[in-house]
Amino acid sequence: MADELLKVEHLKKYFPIRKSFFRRSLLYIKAVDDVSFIMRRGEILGVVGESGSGKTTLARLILRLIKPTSGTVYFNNIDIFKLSEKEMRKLRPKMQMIFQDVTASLNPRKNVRDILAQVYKTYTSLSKKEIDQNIEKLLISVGLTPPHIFMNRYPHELSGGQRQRVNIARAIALEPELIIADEPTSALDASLKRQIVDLFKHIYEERKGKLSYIIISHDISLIYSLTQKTLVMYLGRMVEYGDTKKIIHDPKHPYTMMLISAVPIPDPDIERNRKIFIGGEPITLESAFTGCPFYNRCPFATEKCKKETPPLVRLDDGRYVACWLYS
Amino acid sequence: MILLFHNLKKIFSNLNARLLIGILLTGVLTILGILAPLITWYPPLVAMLGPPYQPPSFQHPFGTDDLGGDIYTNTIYGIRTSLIVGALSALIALIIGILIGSVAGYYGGFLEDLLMRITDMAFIIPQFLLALIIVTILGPNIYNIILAIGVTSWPGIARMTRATTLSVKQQTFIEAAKVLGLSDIKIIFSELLPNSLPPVIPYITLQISSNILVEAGLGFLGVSDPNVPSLGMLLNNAQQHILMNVWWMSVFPGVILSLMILGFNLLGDGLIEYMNPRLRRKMY
Amino acid sequence: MPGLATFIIRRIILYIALFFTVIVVTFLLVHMAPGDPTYILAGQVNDPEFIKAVRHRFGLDKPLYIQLLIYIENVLKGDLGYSYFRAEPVSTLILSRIPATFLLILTAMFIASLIGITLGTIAAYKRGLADAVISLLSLIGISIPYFWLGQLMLITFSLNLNLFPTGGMISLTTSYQGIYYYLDVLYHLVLPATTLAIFNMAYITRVTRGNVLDALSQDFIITAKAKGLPERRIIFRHALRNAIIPVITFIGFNTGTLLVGAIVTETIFAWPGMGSLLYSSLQLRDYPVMLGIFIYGALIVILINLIVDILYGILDPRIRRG
Repeated sequence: MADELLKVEHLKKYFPIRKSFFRRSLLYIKAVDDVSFIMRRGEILGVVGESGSGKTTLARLILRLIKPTSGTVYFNNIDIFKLSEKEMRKLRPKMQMIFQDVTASLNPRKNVRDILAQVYKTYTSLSKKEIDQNIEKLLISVGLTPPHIFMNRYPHELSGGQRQRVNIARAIALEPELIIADEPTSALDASLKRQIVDLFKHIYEERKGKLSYIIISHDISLIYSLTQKTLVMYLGRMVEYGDTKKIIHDPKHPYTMMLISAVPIPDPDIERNRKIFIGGEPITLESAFTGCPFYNRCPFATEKCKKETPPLVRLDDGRYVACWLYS
Repeated sequence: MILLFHNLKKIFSNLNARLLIGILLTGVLTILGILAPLITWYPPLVAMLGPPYQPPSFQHPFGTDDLGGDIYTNTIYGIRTSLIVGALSALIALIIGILIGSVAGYYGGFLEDLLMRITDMAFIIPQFLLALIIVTILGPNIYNIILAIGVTSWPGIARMTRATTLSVKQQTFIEAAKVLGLSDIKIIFSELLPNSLPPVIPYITLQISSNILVEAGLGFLGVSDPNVPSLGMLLNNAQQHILMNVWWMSVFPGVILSLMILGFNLLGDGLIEYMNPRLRRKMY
Repeated sequence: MPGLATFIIRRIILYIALFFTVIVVTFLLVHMAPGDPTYILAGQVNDPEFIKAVRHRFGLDKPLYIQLLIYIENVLKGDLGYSYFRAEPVSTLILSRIPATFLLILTAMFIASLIGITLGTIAAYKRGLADAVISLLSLIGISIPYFWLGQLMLITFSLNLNLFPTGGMISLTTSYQGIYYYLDVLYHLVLPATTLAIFNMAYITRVTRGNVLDALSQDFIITAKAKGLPERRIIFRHALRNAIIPVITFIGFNTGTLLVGAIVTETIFAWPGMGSLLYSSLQLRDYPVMLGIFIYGALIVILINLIVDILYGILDPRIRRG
């Protein structure tokens, strides 16, 4: 219990679609539909899925940027949705986010020093000099050296990779226990991707089990190289959850198989066993629908898949799958 | 060094005619206003400096009025009054306006609806009439005038600020600030305003021009501080003696007043174009 | 048309709320005056009998909130007090002046709209030299204070060129009958109406120009041109129709500014409308009349805004659909 960092229980977020004729909405978009998992301290979780799978909404819920339709999130065994704004603010330094839009996450009117100083000013009462010293150390640790040059730069004077490093610096400044990174490498080219991944690893190792990550990405190779556990989402539902290597080497859910099949993996054993799928268009998941959300693209779909939603079941090797093939 | 050059280039690339002429006009007039004691040789608002109703001469470049006062002196000092009243009242309107606009834009929902409805309603009420009543009731001194004009001219700025706030609010760094745990007030003042305010600045300039007009209008109706020279008051004077055909009492203060308003209008238009080059085809 | 009905009802409720706010604000202002509010409600009057009557009428001995209710009730009944200086109820006084002001405003609005829309469209369509000249003129037009302009016109056309009378609505020396009466009024109307019109004309030109430019750059215009329609048809049929809606609403909202402009212009030309009344009341310290003009002015502007909103609702298909 004590090393449970994050516990997500049956989290749901439905967005109403309002039509002009009707006052009340009958239709909802199920952005997050019954997601549950437990993260231990020091764990790195990957969240995979296409756009629209609900990954970003999940992140927003965990950080309490939006309120859920139902379900709870426990952070260090505290129900975060029962807290007041003030109490939540005390918790926030422990859970930080690195956003998808690298450039828009930085205030264009502030230079790097001001952006990072803001963090210290809000939570500490250090003097200006002490703050500057801290910022220098911070910049060095994310690879922005020499620090005094970068401190005076504005976001538009930085490259994409440098901006991402500032975002990372801001996130680790207060030594959080959890960092959620939303598509941390999508905007970067291949060599920069590597550097950022190395940086993430370095930061993680430096903190020896006190820091946990949730890495949201559609990039399977990133998930493979960085995460220990993976959660695969499709249209808001969990379809597969378990050990990363097992899921990628041997995907059980048809959707996961489709995702993996699209990525060339430099491992001849996996390549041999791959099955190639043709993707389709995801359906709009509305409240009236019951059944597996993947049924219209699934090569193994049956009538049962269309009518009944498969539950999440635990397989022998420790992972969870939601598919009628396994239950 | 290169950075400085690059910044200068950026400033110069968007300059346009309106902006330059606007800066020129307002600049010259402001300097005239500041240097008033140096460029006039009589004290303002003093009578019997010369024979009354005199057309322009070397001694009195703009002529004399009904009491023998020097119109040139009063006009130059009047520039000062117009600028001070215009700027200070715009400042009051600015403070009220950005507060309402930012809060409305940031919080959204019911609060935004409520505040915007209030703003729309305040917009409809004839500003000049209300200012007139306020000054009449509170007493015609310069502070009341500044207050009255300021308190009646905020709706335009509130609207603009809300619009810019809405567009800035969507940016991720605002969300990042929330994740960092900054309080709402901190976010509004430290993150939001520095970004939402600059686009509003041209409209503040236009508001100054409008306020100068209102102050002059009040003065024209006789509602002005008797101890403070005002261009509107000069025109009121001209009106009262108009049948004497003393054109100089009207023309000179009027031209100066028009140039001032024109200057700020050009400045405002120029700034709008400067900040939004895409709109260039709209402005000429 | 359910959307339109809800829209109108909501607007009416809003405007009623606004009118109430105006009354309350006026009431508060009266009581914010330094000194005894009685003098505001009575005017700067020395007659103790009159003062007593005013105190009674407005309930000035009673607690504040009751005074407010009395005041609201009075206003809604049309009782805005009594003008000591003119020995008439304020309402009657103001209402008698409204027609003259309206004549001025409507004439000016008509001229300004006609010329303004035309010039704006020409500027937007022709571009080039015509656009430059028109834009420049309209910029100057909105920068010149209209009261000064009126003075200038008076000085030039009336005093020096003797083309028009210096003021008033009708000639004082001779009295005309029938059609000559109207012509006489018209003769006196020229200068003030033109003064008022020029200022607004400049605004309308700018707004029209902006809107037509927007409309012309829209895709459907390019489609029409590609279809080979003659140019004039393009302007009138397509561009103008879409551009005209915001211009009409602008003209409606601008009537508030026109009202204020008319009030000031009247003082220049001694035109016997609300403006002259306001000016003389200022000098006499006849406060109840001033407050009355404010309330009536606000009411007029509110009504006009309501009408414009309704027109907008009818013209804009998006609102009709709800």
